[in-house]
Amino acid sequence: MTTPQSAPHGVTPGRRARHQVVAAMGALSYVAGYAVSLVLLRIDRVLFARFHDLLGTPPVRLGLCVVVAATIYHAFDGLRETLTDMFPRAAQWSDRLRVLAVFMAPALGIPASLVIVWPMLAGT
Amino acid sequence: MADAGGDLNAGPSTADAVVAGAAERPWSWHLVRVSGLVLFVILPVHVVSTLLLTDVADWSAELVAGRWEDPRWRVLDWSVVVLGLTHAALALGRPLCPTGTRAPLRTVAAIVGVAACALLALAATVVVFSFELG
Repeated sequence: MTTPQSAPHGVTPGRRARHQVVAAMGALSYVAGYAVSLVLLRIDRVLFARFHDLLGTPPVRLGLCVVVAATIYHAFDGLRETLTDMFPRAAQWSDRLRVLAVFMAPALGIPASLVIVWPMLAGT
Repeated sequence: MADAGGDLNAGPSTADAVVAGAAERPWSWHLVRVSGLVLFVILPVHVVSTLLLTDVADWSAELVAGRWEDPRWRVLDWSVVVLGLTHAALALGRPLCPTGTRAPLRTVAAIVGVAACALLALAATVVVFSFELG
Protein backbone atom coordinates (compact mmCIF):
# COMPACT_ATOMS: atom_id res chain seq x y z
CA MET A 1 0.00 0.00 0.00
CA THR A 2 2.91 2.32 0.56
CA THR A 3 3.78 4.16 -2.56
CA PRO A 4 7.01 5.75 -3.65
CA GLN A 5 5.52 9.08 -2.63
CA SER A 6 4.53 7.93 0.81
CA ALA A 7 7.26 5.45 1.72
CA PRO A 8 9.22 6.65 4.73
CA HIS A 9 12.85 7.49 4.18
CA GLY A 10 15.03 4.40 4.03
CA VAL A 11 12.09 2.07 3.47
CA THR A 12 11.68 0.11 0.28
CA PRO A 13 8.55 1.26 -1.58
CA GLY A 14 5.72 -1.15 -1.00
CA ARG A 15 6.97 -2.16 2.46
CA ARG A 16 5.96 -0.59 5.70
CA ALA A 17 8.34 0.74 8.29
CA ARG A 18 8.39 -1.06 11.62
CA HIS A 19 6.75 1.83 13.48
CA GLN A 20 3.91 1.80 10.94
CA VAL A 21 3.37 -1.93 11.51
CA VAL A 22 3.44 -1.48 15.29
CA ALA A 23 0.92 1.38 15.09
CA ALA A 24 -1.34 -0.66 12.81
CA MET A 25 -1.20 -3.59 15.25
CA GLY A 26 -2.13 -1.22 18.06
CA ALA A 27 -5.17 -0.02 16.15
CA LEU A 28 -6.08 -3.61 15.27
CA SER A 29 -5.83 -4.63 18.93
CA TYR A 30 -8.42 -1.98 19.82
CA VAL A 31 -10.92 -3.21 17.21
CA ALA A 32 -10.21 -6.88 17.88
CA GLY A 33 -10.47 -6.33 21.63
CA TYR A 34 -13.84 -4.68 21.20
CA ALA A 35 -15.01 -7.53 18.96
CA VAL A 36 -13.86 -10.08 21.56
CA SER A 37 -15.77 -8.21 24.27
CA LEU A 38 -18.91 -8.39 22.12
CA VAL A 39 -18.44 -12.13 21.70
CA LEU A 40 -18.09 -12.45 25.49
CA LEU A 41 -21.30 -10.48 25.84
CA ARG A 42 -23.05 -13.14 23.78
CA ILE A 43 -21.49 -16.02 25.72
CA ASP A 44 -22.06 -14.73 29.25
CA ARG A 45 -22.92 -11.25 30.55
CA VAL A 46 -20.96 -11.84 33.73
CA LEU A 47 -17.92 -12.78 31.66
CA PHE A 48 -18.34 -9.51 29.75
CA ALA A 49 -18.39 -7.55 33.02
CA ARG A 50 -15.31 -9.41 34.26
CA PHE A 51 -13.50 -8.66 31.00
CA HIS A 52 -14.16 -4.96 31.55
CA ASP A 53 -13.07 -5.25 35.17
CA LEU A 54 -9.81 -6.60 33.78
CA LEU A 55 -9.61 -3.64 31.37
CA GLY A 56 -9.96 -1.39 34.40
CA THR A 57 -6.81 -2.70 36.09
CA PRO A 58 -3.80 -0.34 36.08
CA PRO A 59 -1.54 -2.33 33.70
CA VAL A 60 -4.32 -2.74 31.13
CA ARG A 61 -5.30 0.92 31.42
CA LEU A 62 -1.71 1.85 30.62
CA GLY A 63 -1.83 -0.58 27.70
CA LEU A 64 -5.02 1.11 26.48
CA CYS A 65 -3.19 4.45 26.52
CA VAL A 66 -0.54 2.99 24.20
CA VAL A 67 -3.26 1.49 21.99
CA VAL A 68 -5.06 4.83 21.72
CA ALA A 69 -1.84 6.69 20.86
CA ALA A 70 -0.96 4.03 18.27
CA THR A 71 -4.44 4.29 16.77
CA ILE A 72 -4.18 8.08 16.48
CA TYR A 73 -0.78 7.81 14.80
CA HIS A 74 -2.02 5.08 12.44
CA ALA A 75 -5.08 7.17 11.55
CA PHE A 76 -3.12 10.28 10.62
CA ASP A 77 -0.31 8.36 8.92
CA GLY A 78 -2.90 6.44 6.92
CA LEU A 79 -4.63 9.66 5.97
CA ARG A 80 -1.26 10.99 4.78
CA GLU A 81 -0.74 7.90 2.62
CA THR A 82 -4.22 8.14 1.17
CA LEU A 83 -3.87 11.84 0.38
CA THR A 84 -0.48 11.41 -1.26
CA ASP A 85 -1.86 8.52 -3.32
CA MET A 86 -5.03 10.28 -4.36
CA PHE A 87 -3.62 13.72 -4.99
CA PRO A 88 -0.20 13.74 -6.65
CA ARG A 89 0.44 17.31 -5.59
CA ALA A 90 0.05 16.30 -1.96
CA ALA A 91 3.19 14.18 -2.29
CA GLN A 92 5.31 17.28 -1.70
CA TRP A 93 3.55 17.66 1.66
CA SER A 94 4.19 14.05 2.67
CA ASP A 95 6.99 14.88 5.13
CA ARG A 96 4.96 17.64 6.76
CA LEU A 97 1.94 15.37 7.00
CA ARG A 98 4.15 12.76 8.65
CA VAL A 99 5.26 15.36 11.18
CA LEU A 100 1.57 16.12 11.76
CA ALA A 101 0.92 12.42 12.46
CA VAL A 102 3.85 12.31 14.90
CA PHE A 103 2.55 15.49 16.57
CA MET A 104 -1.08 14.38 16.80
CA ALA A 105 -0.31 11.07 18.51
CA PRO A 106 0.85 12.71 21.77
CA ALA A 107 -1.27 15.86 21.30
CA LEU A 108 -4.46 13.81 21.37
CA GLY A 109 -3.06 10.69 23.00
CA ILE A 110 -1.83 12.32 26.23
CA PRO A 111 -5.17 13.97 27.14
CA ALA A 112 -6.98 10.76 26.22
CA SER A 113 -4.54 8.76 28.33
CA LEU A 114 -5.14 11.07 31.29
CA VAL A 115 -8.88 10.43 31.02
CA ILE A 116 -8.30 6.66 30.78
CA VAL A 117 -5.96 6.46 33.81
CA TRP A 118 -7.77 9.13 35.85
CA PRO A 119 -9.86 6.63 37.89
CA MET A 120 -6.60 4.88 38.72
CA LEU A 121 -4.92 8.13 39.79
CA ALA A 122 -7.98 9.23 41.74
CA GLY A 123 -8.05 5.88 43.51
CA THR A 124 -11.58 5.01 42.46
CA MET B 1 -2.63 -6.88 -1.93
CA ALA B 2 -0.66 -5.92 -4.93
CA ASP B 3 2.26 -3.70 -4.29
CA ALA B 4 1.19 -0.14 -4.76
CA GLY B 5 4.21 0.61 -6.87
CA GLY B 6 3.78 -0.87 -10.35
CA ASP B 7 4.86 1.60 -12.98
CA LEU B 8 5.05 4.23 -10.28
CA ASN B 9 8.36 2.73 -9.26
CA ALA B 10 9.81 3.33 -12.67
CA GLY B 11 10.54 7.00 -12.36
CA PRO B 12 9.51 10.39 -11.12
CA SER B 13 5.82 10.56 -10.29
CA THR B 14 3.51 12.63 -12.40
CA ALA B 15 -0.22 13.19 -12.17
CA ASP B 16 -0.79 10.91 -15.16
CA ALA B 17 1.35 8.15 -13.71
CA VAL B 18 -0.41 8.29 -10.37
CA VAL B 19 -3.86 8.25 -11.95
CA ALA B 20 -2.85 5.35 -14.21
CA GLY B 21 -1.33 3.53 -11.23
CA ALA B 22 -4.48 3.97 -9.17
CA ALA B 23 -6.60 2.60 -12.01
CA GLU B 24 -4.40 -0.52 -12.20
CA ARG B 25 -4.58 -1.25 -8.51
CA PRO B 26 -6.73 -4.14 -7.28
CA TRP B 27 -10.12 -3.68 -5.67
CA SER B 28 -8.65 -4.62 -2.31
CA TRP B 29 -6.30 -1.61 -2.42
CA HIS B 30 -9.25 0.71 -3.03
CA LEU B 31 -11.27 -1.00 -0.30
CA VAL B 32 -8.45 -0.48 2.20
CA ARG B 33 -8.37 3.22 1.32
CA VAL B 34 -12.14 3.69 1.49
CA SER B 35 -12.50 1.73 4.74
CA GLY B 36 -9.59 3.72 6.18
CA LEU B 37 -11.27 7.02 5.36
CA VAL B 38 -14.57 5.91 6.89
CA LEU B 39 -12.75 4.63 9.98
CA PHE B 40 -10.93 7.95 10.27
CA VAL B 41 -14.36 9.50 10.93
CA ILE B 42 -16.17 6.84 12.97
CA LEU B 43 -13.35 5.36 15.05
CA PRO B 44 -12.73 8.57 17.06
CA VAL B 45 -16.45 8.70 17.87
CA HIS B 46 -16.26 5.11 19.07
CA VAL B 47 -13.08 5.60 21.12
CA VAL B 48 -14.45 8.74 22.78
CA SER B 49 -17.79 7.11 23.61
CA THR B 50 -16.38 3.80 24.87
CA LEU B 51 -13.12 4.81 26.55
CA LEU B 52 -13.36 8.48 27.44
CA LEU B 53 -16.99 9.37 28.17
CA THR B 54 -17.56 6.08 29.99
CA ASP B 55 -14.91 4.49 32.17
CA VAL B 56 -13.82 1.22 30.63
CA ALA B 57 -14.38 -0.66 33.91
CA ASP B 58 -18.00 0.55 34.13
CA TRP B 59 -19.15 -1.30 31.03
CA SER B 60 -21.83 -3.92 31.61
CA ALA B 61 -24.48 -5.69 29.58
CA GLU B 62 -27.05 -3.20 30.86
CA LEU B 63 -24.94 -0.30 29.64
CA VAL B 64 -24.60 -1.90 26.20
CA ALA B 65 -28.36 -2.52 26.11
CA GLY B 66 -29.00 1.14 26.92
CA ARG B 67 -26.54 2.25 24.26
CA TRP B 68 -28.03 -0.04 21.63
CA GLU B 69 -31.57 1.16 22.22
CA ASP B 70 -30.53 3.79 19.72
CA PRO B 71 -29.97 1.87 16.48
CA ARG B 72 -27.41 4.43 15.34
CA TRP B 73 -25.03 3.30 18.10
CA ARG B 74 -25.63 -0.30 17.14
CA VAL B 75 -24.77 0.42 13.51
CA LEU B 76 -21.74 2.51 14.50
CA ASP B 77 -20.38 -0.24 16.77
CA TRP B 78 -20.96 -2.86 14.10
CA SER B 79 -19.37 -0.64 11.41
CA VAL B 80 -16.26 -0.05 13.50
CA VAL B 81 -15.76 -3.77 14.06
CA VAL B 82 -16.52 -4.93 10.52
CA LEU B 83 -14.73 -2.12 8.70
CA GLY B 84 -11.77 -2.27 11.09
CA LEU B 85 -11.37 -6.00 10.71
CA THR B 86 -11.90 -5.84 6.94
CA HIS B 87 -9.29 -3.08 6.72
CA ALA B 88 -6.90 -5.21 8.78
CA ALA B 89 -7.62 -8.44 6.90
CA LEU B 90 -6.92 -6.80 3.54
CA ALA B 91 -3.65 -5.37 4.84
CA LEU B 92 -2.64 -8.62 6.53
CA GLY B 93 -3.53 -10.54 3.38
CA ARG B 94 -1.01 -8.76 1.18
CA PRO B 95 1.33 -11.79 1.02
CA LEU B 96 -1.55 -13.86 -0.38
CA CYS B 97 -1.92 -11.67 -3.46
CA PRO B 98 -0.35 -12.70 -6.76
CA THR B 99 2.30 -9.99 -6.52
CA GLY B 100 2.85 -10.37 -2.79
CA THR B 101 5.89 -11.91 -1.13
CA ARG B 102 5.86 -15.69 -1.00
CA ALA B 103 7.78 -16.32 2.22
CA PRO B 104 6.06 -19.38 3.79
CA LEU B 105 5.95 -17.93 7.31
CA ARG B 106 4.38 -14.69 6.09
CA THR B 107 1.86 -16.64 4.03
CA VAL B 108 0.81 -18.78 7.01
CA ALA B 109 0.63 -15.71 9.26
CA ALA B 110 -1.48 -13.94 6.64
CA ILE B 111 -3.90 -16.87 6.34
CA VAL B 112 -4.27 -17.09 10.13
CA GLY B 113 -4.71 -13.32 10.42
CA VAL B 114 -7.31 -13.08 7.67
CA ALA B 115 -9.22 -16.10 9.04
CA ALA B 116 -9.20 -14.66 12.58
CA CYS B 117 -10.46 -11.29 11.33
CA ALA B 118 -13.22 -12.95 9.30
CA LEU B 119 -14.35 -15.09 12.24
CA LEU B 120 -14.33 -12.16 14.66
CA ALA B 121 -16.26 -9.95 12.24
CA LEU B 122 -18.84 -12.69 11.69
CA ALA B 123 -19.22 -13.36 15.42
CA ALA B 124 -19.51 -9.64 16.23
CA THR B 125 -22.15 -9.24 13.51
CA VAL B 126 -24.21 -12.04 15.05
CA VAL B 127 -23.90 -10.47 18.51
CA VAL B 128 -24.76 -6.93 17.42
CA PHE B 129 -27.86 -7.91 15.46
CA SER B 130 -29.14 -10.63 17.80
CA PHE B 131 -28.56 -8.88 21.12
CA GLU B 132 -31.76 -8.65 23.14
CA LEU B 133 -32.21 -5.35 24.89
CA GLY B 134 -34.37 -6.71 27.69
